Amino acid sequence: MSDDDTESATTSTPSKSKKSRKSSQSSPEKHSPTKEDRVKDYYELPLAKVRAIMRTAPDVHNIGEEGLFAMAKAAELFIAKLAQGANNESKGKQVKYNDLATFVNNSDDLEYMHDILPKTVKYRDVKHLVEQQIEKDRLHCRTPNTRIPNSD
Amino acid sequence: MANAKIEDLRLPQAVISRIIKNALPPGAIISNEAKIAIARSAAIFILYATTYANENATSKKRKAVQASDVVHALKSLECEELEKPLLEAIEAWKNKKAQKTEERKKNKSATAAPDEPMEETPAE
Repeated sequence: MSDDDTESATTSTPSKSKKSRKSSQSSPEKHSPTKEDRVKDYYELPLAKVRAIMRTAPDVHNIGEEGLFAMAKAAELFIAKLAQGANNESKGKQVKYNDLATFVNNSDDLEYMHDILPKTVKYRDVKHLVEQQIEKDRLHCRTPNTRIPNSD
Repeated sequence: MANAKIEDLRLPQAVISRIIKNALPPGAIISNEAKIAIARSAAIFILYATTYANENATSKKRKAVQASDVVHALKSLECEELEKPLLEAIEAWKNKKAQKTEERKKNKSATAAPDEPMEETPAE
């Protein structure tokens, strides 16, 4: 693991050199990073977008480079968490929106997401609810109306 | 950032798809609706986490949001299980950055050296 330590990395880096980078060759290792790299220091989300979203939060003055990376990575981990949770909920071949909504609404630690990912409701059910409500309103309205002539 | 458009705040769908694909076991299919929903919730997660991180930074009388603030924000958002991988990622990223600076320094000193072999071939 630590056999291919480069000369430049001897100063401060710990023994776990995560990427056996060749310091002499300036070959870009952008494409096809292995899975281990991805878990560690690789990020996929565009930092400019992440920064733009962060800037919309109130009273944010400055975002450090380190903080920006941390946020991008955190968002990535969050995406992975949601995807895995939804996948565990799904029963069919495909992971559907409702699987995601079920997962989010069933987990208490994602309470702040409940309003953002609501469960879908069937039109039939909504229609039924609305009809019930109308019926209730009508009864409430009618009772005084029907009583007034009776009392007279 | 008053002139930020809504489209600017949308995370790219292709990247989201890739992250989801890497997170799921091979062969799993995810519907487009779910992907879009995840992309939106990720943006909202960033917003929430930034708010908490910024609060933490302000409470420590700092203006810039740092990585430690983000880690703290995860606690506030009850995502403790994401904390460990994030800390590892930050550590790895720092190491990589330190390595890069080291390299750059090395390259600089190499170019500054007077007896560096020239690449050009002599004209005949």
